[in-house]
Amino acid sequence: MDLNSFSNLLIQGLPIWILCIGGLLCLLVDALLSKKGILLVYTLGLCSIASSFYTALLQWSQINSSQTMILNDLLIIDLHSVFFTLLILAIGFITLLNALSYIRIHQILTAEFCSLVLFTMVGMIFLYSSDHLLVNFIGLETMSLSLYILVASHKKSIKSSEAAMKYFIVGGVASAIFLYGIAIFYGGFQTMRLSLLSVNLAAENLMFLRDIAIALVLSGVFFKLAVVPFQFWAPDVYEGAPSPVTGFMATAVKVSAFGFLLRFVMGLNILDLPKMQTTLLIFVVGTLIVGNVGALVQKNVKRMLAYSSISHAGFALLAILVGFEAGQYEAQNAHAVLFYLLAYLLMTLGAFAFLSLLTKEHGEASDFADIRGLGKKHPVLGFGFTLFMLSMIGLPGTIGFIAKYNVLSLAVSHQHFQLAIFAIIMSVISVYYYLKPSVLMFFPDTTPEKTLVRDIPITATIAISLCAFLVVYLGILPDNVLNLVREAALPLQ
Amino acid sequence: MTDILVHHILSLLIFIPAVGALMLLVLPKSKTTLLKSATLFTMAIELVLALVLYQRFGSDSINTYQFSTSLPWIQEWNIQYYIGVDWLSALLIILTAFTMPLALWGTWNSVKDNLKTYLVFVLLLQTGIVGAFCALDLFLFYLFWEIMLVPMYFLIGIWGGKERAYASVKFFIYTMAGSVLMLIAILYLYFKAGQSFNLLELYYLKLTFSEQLTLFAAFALAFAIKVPLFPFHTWLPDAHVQAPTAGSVILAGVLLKMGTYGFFRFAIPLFPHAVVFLQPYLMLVAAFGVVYGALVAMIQPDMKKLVAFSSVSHMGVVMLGVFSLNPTALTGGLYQMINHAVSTGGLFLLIGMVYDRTHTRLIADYSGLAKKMPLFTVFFLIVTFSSIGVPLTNGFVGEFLTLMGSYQVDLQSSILGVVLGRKTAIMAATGVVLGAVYMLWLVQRVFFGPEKQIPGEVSDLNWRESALMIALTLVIFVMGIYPQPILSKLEISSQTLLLKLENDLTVGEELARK
Repeated sequence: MDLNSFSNLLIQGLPIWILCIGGLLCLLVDALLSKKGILLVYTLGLCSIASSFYTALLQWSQINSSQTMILNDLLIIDLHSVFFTLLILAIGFITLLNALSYIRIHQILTAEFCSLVLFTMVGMIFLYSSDHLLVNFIGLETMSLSLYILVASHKKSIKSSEAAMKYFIVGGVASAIFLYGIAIFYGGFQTMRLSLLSVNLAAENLMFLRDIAIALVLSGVFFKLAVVPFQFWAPDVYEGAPSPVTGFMATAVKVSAFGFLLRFVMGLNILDLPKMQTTLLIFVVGTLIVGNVGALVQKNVKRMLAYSSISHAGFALLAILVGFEAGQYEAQNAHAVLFYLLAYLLMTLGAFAFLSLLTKEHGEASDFADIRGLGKKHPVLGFGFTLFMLSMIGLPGTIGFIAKYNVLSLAVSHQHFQLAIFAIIMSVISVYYYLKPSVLMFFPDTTPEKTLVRDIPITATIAISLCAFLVVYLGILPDNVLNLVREAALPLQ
Repeated sequence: MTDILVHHILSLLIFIPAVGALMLLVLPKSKTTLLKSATLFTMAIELVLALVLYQRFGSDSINTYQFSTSLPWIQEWNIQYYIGVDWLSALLIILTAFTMPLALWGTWNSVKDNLKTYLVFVLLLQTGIVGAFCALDLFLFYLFWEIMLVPMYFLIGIWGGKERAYASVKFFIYTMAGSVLMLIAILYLYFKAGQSFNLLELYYLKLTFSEQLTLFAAFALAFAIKVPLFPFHTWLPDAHVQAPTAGSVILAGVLLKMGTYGFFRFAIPLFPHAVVFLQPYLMLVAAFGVVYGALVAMIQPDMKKLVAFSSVSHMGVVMLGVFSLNPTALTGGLYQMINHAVSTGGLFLLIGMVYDRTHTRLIADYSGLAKKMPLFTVFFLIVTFSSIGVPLTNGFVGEFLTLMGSYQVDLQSSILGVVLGRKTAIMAATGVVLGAVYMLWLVQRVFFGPEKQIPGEVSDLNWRESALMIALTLVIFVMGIYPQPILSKLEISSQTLLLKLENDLTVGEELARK
């Protein structure tokens, strides 16, 4: 490639390169300074994410909605990818903030943790920033491999290793299926590029191959999203992973997978295929049921949140499903999905920020029995967690309501009344398990001594306050962000 | 200066309690008297503003909303911050402003742990309630309607009785389940009206009959749960019994009125044909609730549960009046709404006073209380008379008007209507008589009869409690002897609603039934 395209790639891809260099620097500093450099490594991680965020913001302000830059034929920079990059960077930043107290208490290797988080984010950005399916796959694999290690990073916990093994094996199979789908696309339609595929798919008459390829690719993505019927790994993995990592997984993986899914669905106009809508409907209904009913019976807060995140993914999928009208997907209808993802990440990261602070004598304190009476000792933390739970229910005044309202509004405007009623009844079911933590924290008679909140570093305070503030502020004055999200949805067409 | 104040009086009324709550957050939690006084001060300001609202309200004014403000809020969806009041809303706001300090003053020493959080939640509750009474934008109304749940949930759950966790979660889920279907109905209306949440615009929306029926069902479910109408009342006994006294007073006094208000302001005017079609059923349900509540109240061993079921019974009378859709009954029903706040609120306060002393609410534990607490007995009897509807008390005016009005209703629109005829009024009247039965029996068992050793130290009312009860007594008798000021205002609101119904029904005679 010539100098021009190289410099373009260098400059436009800055958010990605900064993260890469940051990750490598973390490892380097740790190799040189070892134990003394832990705080430095941590700060380095935060700074690289922050500077990457800054460059992404600059990109955001410079691009307008019609512009699409394709770098080296492989990387797409448009409003959609920059929006998702901003989301991922925010998630990474808040995750690192959450993780400090956890790292200190459970003696997790800091440099490896930070650098892995950074590398995961690099993978995620490639997942949704490309038109070429192989680049998406590379991103998917980078993300997944880093995550497998992150899940295992709590070396003293056997649950952590078990969760990582499960995630690795099942995730490996899912990635293989995804890759096979790509291979069939290439074999049948001579291209792995989404824009060319849409042309070739229409031209050729190989419906059988097309259906199989789409099914395989979607299966791989749905696995990552933990959508029914691919959700069986999620509760175990979420429960076993260290709390900050669970927060990271629950949010970032879903956000990036949805970023890819939106490109894939709209690029190939998948919902127009016969029976695709019915299939997706069955998945959505199944996901909402399994997610909500499954969470009702859980005894561990993290497992409950795992099932709840399954149901949230179902809701976002619902948003994709109902946005389809009259033979094609209107790009602007994607704003419902985007806003839902934003709301979801804020609520979930806030909840996991809280969970990362809880410890018992040996290991984490994330059972419901462990949080009994916590509200009496730490009322501010308790009410903060309750706020995030109320937002997940979809109580007006919080961002969760605006997000759900957005999706329901889309559904009703397209006459999907039964679906809207079904989704909202599922929301009511969810009230019970979202209220359970606050019931146990504030209402019981006895206060146990088991759970400690050992220390609340300033980072945790910042993380929780930031999430709480945004949850309430965007719940009451969402106008600006709604506008932004609408713009970000446009490039997809 | 006063002009700006008056112009924005509604926003002030809504947000002053919230500001007060924020102020409380910065005060130290150890200075309990300071906290309570600060809360009382905030509520006093609220009450003064509410009285200013009353005084400055324009005369007659049918069909207009006063003091309205409309600011663009979420422009993406054409949602406005649109508030305004008519006489009914204004009176309900005054009722709230009056009940809250009453509840606080009556339970001054009841709550000891986490007083600061308690007071913050009480103030936030007031914000939500006043907001719901003022909202004229459906989205805004829905927001305030749901937000009210959170402080009430915590009030019951943290400072309540033994089964508080069960009661608070039941309250939350039950109420929310009703409201979410209302949300879908609101969305449907929004899109039908070309993306507008403006209530006054929606009043003139033309809907088909089947649309009206479905949407009315959705709205009615949410409000019926709140009122509560049989069979959606089962959350009420638990919530009332387990809530702390102030919580019960606010719940009975104000929160239940939101259901009635919802019917009056939203469900009935938006879907006139559906209401007229369903009128016999609704009246039957209301009348049945009166009798049912009274019968179940009679067998309760717990005083608070007895009063809770009496609430169901009284609200049945209110709803019978509202569903009768004629001037007398409607005005009577609305007046009975205010009476219920006073009498049931009073009963809960009194029960709370005696509970603070003896820590038992079981009737079996009491007998011959009149000898030990004579002053208390007098006030309890007066409030009982108000609850039963003895002439000279406010209860009589409300019940008489409601029963008389509902007797006049000529239900010919359906088979059930023809069969029922006047029987709903007769059922309700029977229920009122039963009301006398259980209340007087309660009084006889608790206060009169042989003296018994009652747990705790039973001292008579102190000066704070007496002052409170004297104020309530005055209200009871003034409202009973000279109801005209309030009645005339309520009549204006009723007339407005009935005029609109008449208009819609005659104009829409051509609406084809699907």
